[in-house]
Amino acid sequence: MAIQIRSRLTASPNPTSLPRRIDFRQTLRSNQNGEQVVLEYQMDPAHDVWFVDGDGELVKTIQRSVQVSRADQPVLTRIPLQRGPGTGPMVSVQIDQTITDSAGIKIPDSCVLGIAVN
Amino acid sequence: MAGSPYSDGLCSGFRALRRGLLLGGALAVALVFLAGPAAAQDPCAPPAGDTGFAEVSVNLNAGTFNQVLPFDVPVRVCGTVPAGTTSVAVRYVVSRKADISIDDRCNVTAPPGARLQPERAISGRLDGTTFRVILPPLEAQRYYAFCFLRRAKVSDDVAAKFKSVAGDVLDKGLAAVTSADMTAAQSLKLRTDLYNRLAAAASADDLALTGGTVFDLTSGYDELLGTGKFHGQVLKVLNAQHGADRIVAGDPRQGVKALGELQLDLKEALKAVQASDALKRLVDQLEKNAQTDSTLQEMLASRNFKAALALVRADDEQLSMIAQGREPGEPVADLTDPSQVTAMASHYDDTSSALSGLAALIRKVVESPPASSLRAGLSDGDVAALRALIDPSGPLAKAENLAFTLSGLAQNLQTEIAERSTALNAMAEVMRVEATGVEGVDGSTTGSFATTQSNYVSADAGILFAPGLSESASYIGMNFYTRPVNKDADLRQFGDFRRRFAFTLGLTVQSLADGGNGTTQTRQDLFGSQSLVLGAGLRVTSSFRLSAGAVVFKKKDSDPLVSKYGLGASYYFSISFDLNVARAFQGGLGNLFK
Repeated sequence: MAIQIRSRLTASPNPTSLPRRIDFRQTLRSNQNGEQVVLEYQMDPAHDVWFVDGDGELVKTIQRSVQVSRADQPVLTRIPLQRGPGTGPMVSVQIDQTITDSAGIKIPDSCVLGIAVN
Repeated sequence: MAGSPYSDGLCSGFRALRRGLLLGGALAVALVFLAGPAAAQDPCAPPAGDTGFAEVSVNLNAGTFNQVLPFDVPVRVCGTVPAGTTSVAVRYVVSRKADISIDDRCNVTAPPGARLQPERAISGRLDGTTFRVILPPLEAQRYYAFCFLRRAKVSDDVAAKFKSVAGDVLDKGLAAVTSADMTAAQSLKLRTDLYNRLAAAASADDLALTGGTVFDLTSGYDELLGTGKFHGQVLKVLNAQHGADRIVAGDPRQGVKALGELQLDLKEALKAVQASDALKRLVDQLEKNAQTDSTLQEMLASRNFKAALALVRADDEQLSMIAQGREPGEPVADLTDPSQVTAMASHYDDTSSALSGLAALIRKVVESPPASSLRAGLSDGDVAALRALIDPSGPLAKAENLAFTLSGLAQNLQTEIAERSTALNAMAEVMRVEATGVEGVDGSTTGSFATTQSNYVSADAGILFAPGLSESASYIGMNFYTRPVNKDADLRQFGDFRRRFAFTLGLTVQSLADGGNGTTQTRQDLFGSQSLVLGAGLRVTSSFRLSAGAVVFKKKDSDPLVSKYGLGASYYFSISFDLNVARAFQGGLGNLFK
């Protein structure tokens, strides 16, 4: 019913050029088996780097659901990123992640992605 | 011309000059022998021949140059520095008057508005303890104050001390950065800010940052980005401090609670657990039964149950401490201290385990048969209340989840603090400093009358043609410039009008008088057998000059009955050689053409 982050969120490749699908990795564990958690990734709405959702739309927030067990569990989330409208060109962006456990407790994680200016 | 007073004078002049040259040559030979060994030891002895530079020596200890500084030509300054010096660079201040004042840190205090130039100090070339630095052409008739900036290796102690200072500077500088979202311009601003902070910290201890070990603001290469040498470390610092901020302060935009809010939630959940009368009765009954049941006694004495029972009986202050992740006697944890945060995480782990153990015990009780000794003294209502307590939405499960979450957050916070510190240390480890020293040296391109007169005057020798007289003649004279002119300066670089233009005053070498052979004389020379040459001209090359003017002579009155001569003049054009008078008198007439 609760989640712990065992190893922090990382992005790969980092730095990267855009557009590019980025692998976000971290390790989670729960205090119960099979806990369903929601992972939400956000970026600042003002800048020119965007997530690309399943419909090919540029979005600033994207969600994924995963099941987490009691043992340390690596979690991989792949999200395409590309440049869009906004302040820039950015050379690094911060990606905030919020993990919501099944009890509704939200815990934060984040990573910084370096971006090569084309 | 033979036998004229003028020619006699010229011959005697040449004889005197010849005697002078012979005497000077003998003296020079003697001086070479006497000064030979010393010259060989002088690392700044000017090389033989033309080097393309004006060679000047500087004595940094005395703060003097060995001569009036040449102008309009590149100057190569040579000097010596103490052993251990790693670099020498120079900047300077210029003024029309001798009113320059600089302090011992090379700050210009006078004249008002004067500033050091160039913007970036001119680096010298160091060979052992001898350095040479090339100055750009200086302006004529100016006063200069030069700052020679020396750098030297520092001791290991000083280097280690600076790394600690650099770590603090980077810590404070990067702590002010609230987001890792950066454009190239923001990255440059951050680098500049950090560089300036580091430079100021170094300067306070008479140290300077060693190039290549810190942020390079001039190359256009951004060390904070991509494959830049500080890229990974800076992003680690920013990421870690952002992560720590989100844990401690929460993120209201995303509904993430601050650490303090979660701690309050935990306290409330613990209070709700404590408020259960059924739990109190269970605990009382278990402790009572344990007096006669050694197995139960042993179970209640275990670490988790002991902690659980303490939780159930804790007062409000103790509950606050448990919720804050501390034990009695411990102060509130400093959330920037990794060891205190680690201890906090450990306490939350204990709390989580205790609550887990309590939940397991309650589950065992409520799931045991009604006749079981574990349920002795409990009513059906108590059992129902205990079931509600351990329900996934009940207060015990909530407290357990919060303790588990807080333990994870405390561990994450400790990791963030440690990673940030490691990254800061890694950056500080790369940075190097050197000891700095500043030597002020005064110089001037304004010499005394004796040294400056040659900058205004040059000898002139050429051929003139006077169309009005249908005569040509060679002449010698002097050119007078309206500004100081260095004949060594390249006219292509320094060839403005006043460096080319000069007035000419001379005498013809041949007579312009006419008559003889039965013809009527209409003119005579102005002086003996020479006429006066007055004109002006422009240098086309360093020495070659085109001029025009008037040749002045004596002209017979146009009335044939009058035999008087008056002044007459006729225009002329000439080509001539602008000669170096000073050199002529220093090293023989051959130098006229150098």
